[in-house]
Amino acid sequence: MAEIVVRRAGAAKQYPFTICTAANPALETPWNSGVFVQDPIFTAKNSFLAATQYIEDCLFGSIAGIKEQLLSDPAIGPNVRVISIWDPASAVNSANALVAQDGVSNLLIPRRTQIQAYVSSYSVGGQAITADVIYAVSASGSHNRASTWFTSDDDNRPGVPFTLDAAAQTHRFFSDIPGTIAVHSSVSDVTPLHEFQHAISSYTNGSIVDLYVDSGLAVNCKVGRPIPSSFCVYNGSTFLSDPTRDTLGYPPSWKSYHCALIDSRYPAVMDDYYKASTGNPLDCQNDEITRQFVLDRIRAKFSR
Amino acid sequence: MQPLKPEELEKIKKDYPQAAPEDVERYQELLSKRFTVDPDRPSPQAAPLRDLAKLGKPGAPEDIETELQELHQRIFRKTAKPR
Repeated sequence: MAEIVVRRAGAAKQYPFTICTAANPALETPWNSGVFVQDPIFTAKNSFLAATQYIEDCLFGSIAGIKEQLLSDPAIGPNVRVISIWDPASAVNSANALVAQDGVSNLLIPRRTQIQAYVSSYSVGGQAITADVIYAVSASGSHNRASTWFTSDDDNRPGVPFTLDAAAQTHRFFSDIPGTIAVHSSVSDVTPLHEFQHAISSYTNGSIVDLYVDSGLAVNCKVGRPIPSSFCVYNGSTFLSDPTRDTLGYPPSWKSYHCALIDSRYPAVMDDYYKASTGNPLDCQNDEITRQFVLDRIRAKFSR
Repeated sequence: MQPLKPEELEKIKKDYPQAAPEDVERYQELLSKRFTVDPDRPSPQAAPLRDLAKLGKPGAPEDIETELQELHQRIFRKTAKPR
């Protein structure tokens, strides 16, 4: 029997901002092969529950020693609904394969349309679950690295307008497809937060990209040399660049550069957090534009 | 996309000594870029794709996957052990 647990109630409204975790019934292996096998997660309920707890604690800043407190603000946290789905009766088929194993890496890949349909097939309080960010949790024996698709916004519905440099864009209230994450049940460090910030970002209204590779233009990444002192102007406020990439330095071949960090001693959460000088990824915080942008996206969705 | 853990990177270096560091870096870059393209609506993502093209990098998802396959084969090929 399915266990749908509302771990945090969130705001009392029709569409509260919602984060969901779901145990993955089936794995597509490899990705895009059409071959499906049972995910071992249903033989390890405690590992699913532990992963769900870790994801929640990481996002709400309650892991001992974690510096980034993204959702812990009393004006944010109580408005966030968190739901978990555990349904061992789910059949092994394409519709229930929420995660694929990459054929060219050890990445777990979210199957986002299947994730969206699976989650919305369950209800809370008589209403189908509409989630903003969904973690599909796998216990794959061969693949253990998380990955994420950004949100595909519903650009036909309203939102909160913003300006980023010369562009006018909108923090949309609703999505066509929510941000989707595939994560291993052994998830640790700041991985849930790193992936969440990808997931809440948007393909059409501002993406948050990885900063540990030479990425292209995004909200948190610019391209060009020399690095200017100003990184961007967001809603009329100027954000400075990080001229040195904390202690890591920009490789000479790179053309990308990043925004100033909240704590310049450690890499950004979206950078290689395993390279924190203390060896502790939990020391890493966001850069300034990432935190502001992500919180503004969440606040906009609160107002729907 | 989760970064490679230091021990995973060391294992690649140890198990595949022929893997060129620049290939590994490019491989990671392409894996990450894969997720910057909306898989269901690639056309609205035209602006970032144009940015990639300006940098002389792949401009379409199929280009990314083709190069990833090539890099994967090059990095992770097994070399014959000397007798």
